[in-house]
Amino acid sequence: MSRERILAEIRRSLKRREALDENVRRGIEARNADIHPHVQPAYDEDLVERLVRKHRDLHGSVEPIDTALHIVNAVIAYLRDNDLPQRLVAADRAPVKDLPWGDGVTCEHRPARGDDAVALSVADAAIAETGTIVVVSSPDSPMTHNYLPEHHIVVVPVSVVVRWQEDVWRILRKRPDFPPRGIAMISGPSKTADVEQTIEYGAHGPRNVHLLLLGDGQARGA
Amino acid sequence: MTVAQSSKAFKVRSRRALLDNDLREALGRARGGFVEQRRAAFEALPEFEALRDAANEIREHTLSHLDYYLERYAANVEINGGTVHWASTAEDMNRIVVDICRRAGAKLVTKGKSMVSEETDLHHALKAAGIERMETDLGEYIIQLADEPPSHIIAPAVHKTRAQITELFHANHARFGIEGRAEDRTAIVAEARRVLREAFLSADVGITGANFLIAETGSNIIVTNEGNGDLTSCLPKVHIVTAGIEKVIPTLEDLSVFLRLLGRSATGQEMSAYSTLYSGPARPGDSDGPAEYHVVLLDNGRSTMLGNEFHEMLRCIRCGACLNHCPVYSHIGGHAYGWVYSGPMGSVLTPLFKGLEESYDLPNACTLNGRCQEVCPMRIPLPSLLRRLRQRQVEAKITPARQRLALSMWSRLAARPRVYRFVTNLSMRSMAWLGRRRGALRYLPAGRGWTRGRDMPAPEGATFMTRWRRRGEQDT
Amino acid sequence: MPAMFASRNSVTWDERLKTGFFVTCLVDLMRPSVGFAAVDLLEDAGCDVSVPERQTCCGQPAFNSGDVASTLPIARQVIEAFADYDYVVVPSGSCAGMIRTHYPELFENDFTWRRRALDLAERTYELTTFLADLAGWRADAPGGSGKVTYHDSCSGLRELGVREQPRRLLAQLENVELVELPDSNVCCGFGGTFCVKYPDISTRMVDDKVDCVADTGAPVLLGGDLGCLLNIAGRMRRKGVKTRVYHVAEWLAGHHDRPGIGDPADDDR
Ligand code: SF4
Repeated sequence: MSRERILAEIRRSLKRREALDENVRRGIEARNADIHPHVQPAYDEDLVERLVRKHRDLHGSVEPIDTALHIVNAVIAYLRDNDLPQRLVAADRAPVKDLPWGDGVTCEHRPARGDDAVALSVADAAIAETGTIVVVSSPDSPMTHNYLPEHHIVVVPVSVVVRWQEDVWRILRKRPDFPPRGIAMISGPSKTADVEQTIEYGAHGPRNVHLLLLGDGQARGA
Repeated sequence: MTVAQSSKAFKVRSRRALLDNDLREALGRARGGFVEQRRAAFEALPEFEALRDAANEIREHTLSHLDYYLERYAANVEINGGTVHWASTAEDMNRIVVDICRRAGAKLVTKGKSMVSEETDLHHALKAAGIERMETDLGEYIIQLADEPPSHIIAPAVHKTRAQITELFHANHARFGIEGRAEDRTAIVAEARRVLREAFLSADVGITGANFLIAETGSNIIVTNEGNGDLTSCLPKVHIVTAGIEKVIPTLEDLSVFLRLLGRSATGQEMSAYSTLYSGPARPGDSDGPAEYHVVLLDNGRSTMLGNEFHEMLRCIRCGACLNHCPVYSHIGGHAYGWVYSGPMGSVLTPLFKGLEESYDLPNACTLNGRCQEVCPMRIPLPSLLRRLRQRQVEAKITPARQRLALSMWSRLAARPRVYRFVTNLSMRSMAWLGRRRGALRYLPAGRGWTRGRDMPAPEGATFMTRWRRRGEQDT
Repeated sequence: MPAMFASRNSVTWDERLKTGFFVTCLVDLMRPSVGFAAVDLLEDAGCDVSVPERQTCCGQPAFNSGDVASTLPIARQVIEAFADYDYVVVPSGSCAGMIRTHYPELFENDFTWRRRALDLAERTYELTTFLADLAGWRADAPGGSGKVTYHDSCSGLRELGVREQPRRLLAQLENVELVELPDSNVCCGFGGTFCVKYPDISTRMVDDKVDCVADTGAPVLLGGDLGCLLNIAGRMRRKGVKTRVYHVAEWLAGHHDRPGIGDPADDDR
């Protein structure tokens, strides 16, 4: 069988006859159980400020909102400003579940289809280091929302902003479904440089990633 | 293929490349951008060297316990509900992939960029099985239309100009009911989006590569800027991941080290737009995601490489920095190298995969200037590996006899200082006499390679050693 | 370190350190004046310079072509010829790199020779590094004048870290203005046998270099490795470019009036 053949050849190359001996194996297990970040870029910028700056540098947009009650108005304004139809798909989880959309807007909780223009998600984490938004897949949060629609609106509670990428791993390991099926780390909109090595946005996925930075009720200069 | 043939093939291809003005324009633009962006990215990262150290330490640790990590990774994929397939050879991998597609009744597969599938020539296997394939990375899609191999591992269509892409689209998109010509960049990208969107939504199977496999979680990670890899992974009912066995790393913390190096080395980005970890098929209650998740682990000579003097090459993360900084690559482009891997990393890998004789020129067409090693995030000693390949060629007597003879004559002469002194002094004096007017010779009977493109500056006359001795005699 | 040395323009040093000069095959054959310039500089810096008779080539052409068997006798010859010197100085980054990094590799499985190779490696220096970092060379004459530009040869730059040293030395020449060469760290296309085996690619590479030199507007190009300089000067002569090309040692030693590399002996430009 290929599996045995490959493993045997690996062992031959490593000058070992058998699988690892117990001591070495325990050493490796200890290495991997002792979880700690290796090298992290130092910075002392305020986390939320940095997240916003980095996300904008990545060609995304950001709008601070004070409470979850403001989500509806912010989304409707975004749809209007971008000449978008008044319909969207959304995650089926707080704080975007059961929002009072009113008559004019259709909001559905289902996977995205090819003709959906807008998705509304909730970030599980946001990495200030690089301006990256993390959205984890679950029955309430379909992966297709991240990639199919042309506009991706993501609610980012300031409480989920973390300093480094490794902080996300720490948080995710606490989930009962770890590892979740999909961990999407999104750093700005979809782009390509395959034509003349010059960036064009909206290659296959969203042309814009719009963050609704959900404050803790206090105003912030974002 | 004999050396003479393969050598000729490289020389013909590289000469053709040098004369191709479109290619020259495309490569010139790419080079400046990649080099400058990478430099800026690392200048802003004082931790660069520490990250390189960490990444190398992780890779060496994993490779020296590769059997353990592969088994652990495979066990975790299965816990996640996925299936792991092991492929010893390229043919094995192609057969496994085609079988999965057949069982799924696939007519159309979408593909994310995967160098491994280029390596095994999966395209032809799919074609032979009557399965249509759509490449979804814009660059890969362009070269699929042109029916060409990639010319760069991260920018496969880097050799194409905008006008060429316009024409390719025009020639191929009528079947989608698209009439006019997409002339500017935005129009080209929009047209590709429209055409490929249909494919994403109707494909039966999605095939992607993997930048890394994480043993801890049984996940694969895909890094793209377009999001095509994700649409390929999420939409079809079957997702197949193809990856070389060297891609496995232990934990998510280890992954973070590599992600900090990968984008910066490749394009100067801190993070590419999409870095996504996939762990198995759709879970109960999930409303999207594939029903089947397969991983095909490809060996294809890697396990042997692990034990030989080229094992350092297994550290490669396919970032492309060595290509971008290679002065030879940037003049001849990727196609001259004749296979899917090009530039410095390709010049090491191709002879190992395809044979020393068939790829005779690759290790030789290099000045050993060392810029690749300097920028390689994994500090792979590419020049030393190329020199080692040259040694294997000499040992196998693949190196042309004339060259071996010339070198051994020079070496034998150099090992006899007195004779050497006499012969060189005489030759230099005659060359000096020949070049006395111009100060340089336009033609050298024994050095046509040199005088093809440049003059040979004339020597000054008697050699230093002769003059030194004379000076010594006068002094005493 | 510099304290070990003293040049004649500072304190006199009685027990001068014995320095073996390895002229290298290209300088020996093609441009002996670089050798004499280097010896002058070393003597200026207070070294007791000898030129061992048994030297020829460092073996790099064979080594880089993958011919280890032919390299070994040459390497042994160099190791023996220079066994008795406190320092060995080489006016070429690539030959010094060969001795410093590759000789020890060559004798990986031969304990005795490996020890000797390591011993030589430790004592061996590229000329400008030796002058700038160890010998504390000081210019005692104004030397040449005007704008010059500098090409960093790859082996010296990457194997030995030679970059600031020639610049520091040139900065001592009062009337010389160094204009930085764009892409000065990009290979000129020489690469030893590479330029003969792949002349078309090599020509393109050296063309880029010639263009960059032209961009600086400097009438003089300097460098620390004769291989690269012969390549660049050869291309310039073929194209009719009038830039004059010298080894940096020639300018430092005040030999800047001589014809440049590839110039006619009775230079009347
Ligand atoms: S050899 Fe190094 S620089 Fe080249 S692709 Fe691999 S990791 Fe990147």
